[in-house]
Amino acid sequence: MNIKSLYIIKRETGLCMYHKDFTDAIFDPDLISSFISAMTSFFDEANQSISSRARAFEGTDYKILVEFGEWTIGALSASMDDEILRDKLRRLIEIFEEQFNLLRWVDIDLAVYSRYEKHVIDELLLDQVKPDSVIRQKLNWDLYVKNPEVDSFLKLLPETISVREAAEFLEIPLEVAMNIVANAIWEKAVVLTNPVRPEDIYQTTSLERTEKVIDGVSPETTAALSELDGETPLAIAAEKVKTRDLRRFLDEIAMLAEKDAVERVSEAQATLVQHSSVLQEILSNCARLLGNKMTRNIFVESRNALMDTYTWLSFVDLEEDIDVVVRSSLSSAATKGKILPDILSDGLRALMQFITKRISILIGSEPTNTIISKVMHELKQVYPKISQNVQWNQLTM
Amino acid sequence: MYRQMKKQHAPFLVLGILIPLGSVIGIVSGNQDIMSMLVAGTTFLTAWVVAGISLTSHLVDGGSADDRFESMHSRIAIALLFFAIAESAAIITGSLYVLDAYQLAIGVVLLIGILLWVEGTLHYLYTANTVLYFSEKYLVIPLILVFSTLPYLGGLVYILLTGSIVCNYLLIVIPIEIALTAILVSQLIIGYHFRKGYLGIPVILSFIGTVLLLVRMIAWCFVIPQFSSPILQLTGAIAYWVIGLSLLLVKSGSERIRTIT
Repeated sequence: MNIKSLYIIKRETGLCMYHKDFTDAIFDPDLISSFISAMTSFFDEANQSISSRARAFEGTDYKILVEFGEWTIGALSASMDDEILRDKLRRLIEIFEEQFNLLRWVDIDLAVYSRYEKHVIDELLLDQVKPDSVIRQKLNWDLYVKNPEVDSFLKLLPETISVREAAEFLEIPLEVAMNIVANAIWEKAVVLTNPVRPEDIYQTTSLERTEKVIDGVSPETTAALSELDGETPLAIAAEKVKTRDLRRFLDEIAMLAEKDAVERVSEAQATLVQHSSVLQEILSNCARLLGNKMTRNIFVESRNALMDTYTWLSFVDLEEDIDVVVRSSLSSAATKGKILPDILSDGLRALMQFITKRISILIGSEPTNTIISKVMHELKQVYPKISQNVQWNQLTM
Repeated sequence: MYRQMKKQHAPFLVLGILIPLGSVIGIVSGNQDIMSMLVAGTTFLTAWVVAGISLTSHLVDGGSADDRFESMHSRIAIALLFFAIAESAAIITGSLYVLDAYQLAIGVVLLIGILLWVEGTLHYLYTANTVLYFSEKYLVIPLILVFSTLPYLGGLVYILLTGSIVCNYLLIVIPIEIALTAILVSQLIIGYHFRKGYLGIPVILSFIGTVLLLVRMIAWCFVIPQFSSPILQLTGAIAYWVIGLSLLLVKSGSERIRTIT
């Protein structure tokens, strides 16, 4: 999720009330705000439809996402369009309209930039910073950084260090370190990279490849590209091609990602794959105790009970005996980021809760908890990080 | 539990009334022949109705070879069919002079049914152990067979040493009793783990039915050498009914989860 710029535009006048460039400035803010305002008005007029609204503009390597508030338009330039970014943009618009409501009627100086900065950092930058993220200081950062906290933070650290190591070194809480790093990114003092982890899920972008050998990539990694189907974690893909050096494999994947030969799946897709794995394991273990037919009944009854709240659960089904299958409509929406990961994890967690409840009615809570413990233990062995994303305590009886 | 049972199970419930009723009438009549006829008729009917309902409930749906749960219940249903055949044979031959050859033939039929039953049960137990971890996987079946055989080894040694012959079909009855004991041990293990769930009830019922069958087998060899004697038949009828009821309750588990809100 590479965010480039943010613009908050007054709808009536097309005036840019706030903008921030996270990378090098691409557009003149007044120019882009006038363009967006004009284009959205044009599409509204042309379609004569209240519900039809221009929502995105696309360039070669960027997209401008547009969301509408009551009296403002928010525009976010990013490398991809997904529901998470749109959700953040909508929240930012809401906060802006609430905080600077006076600007709807009059044009006065409300110190917008200084007062709104924290919300933008919290919404767009903070969740990019993970404990394992690596920060690399830019050249001559000390010449332009104004934030004293960031200044003292970076001065004490080596040029390249992970966030967790920085917090340990400076003996400050991890959350504080993450906050300071977010501010450092805001000040463009550091470059943040998230290392490739074994439990990450990637997919191959170049489906037709003429050369059998890729420069700088080992034969095992090249062979593993066919395993990167958007559903298989890297550790499993490496195991399938019998990779000897996992670290090198991950580094090569990072290199291929920079070349756009592979891409990390959206967070929604990763959530869907992870939770589906857990669901599959629970159902498989249940089937060993209760048989396939009763397990299938449990699944269907649990899913039907949740359909009113999570209509998309109808696209999660069982094939053959008890093989969990996600229909293409849902997996496509997850891949494209059209559905939020939180909604997916909520729905699948609720489904698993309903299933475990029904299992415990039939065989008692102790064997049910044994199943959950077994699944958790097995998942932790294979995907240590993924197992942290699942709320196991909510599944136990 | 009665809510979960369907209308087609009504004959089964009727049998539950018929068995004690027939027995009481027979006993009250004071006439040995009438009592024998009533008990024989009730047992015959119970065995075949229970076998029929169990087979239609558990065998028709089929299921994959990996599904040990369904497999086990299918085998129990088939075992009930063999019991029904054995009862029929016992009633027919019971009117003739009691010959060991007939008792042996009945024993062979019973043994086939019970071996199917114990095979299904042990396979299920092995699979359940992969989830519930009550023993090392390679020890599950050997341990159960050892515990099941031990009680009979002592008796067998005594019989061999003293040279006393209890019945000529001992070679058939002993394996039957070992197999039934193995089933009982397995049911105890499964029943213990499922004791707080709905499926604990059918396991307990199945355990009771199996105990009655084991008592019948022991009495058949050591006390009453005629399979078709009224007291043995009555024991059998109650056992079949209870086991059949447990199979029906397992099937009704799906209805149970449907009622959860």
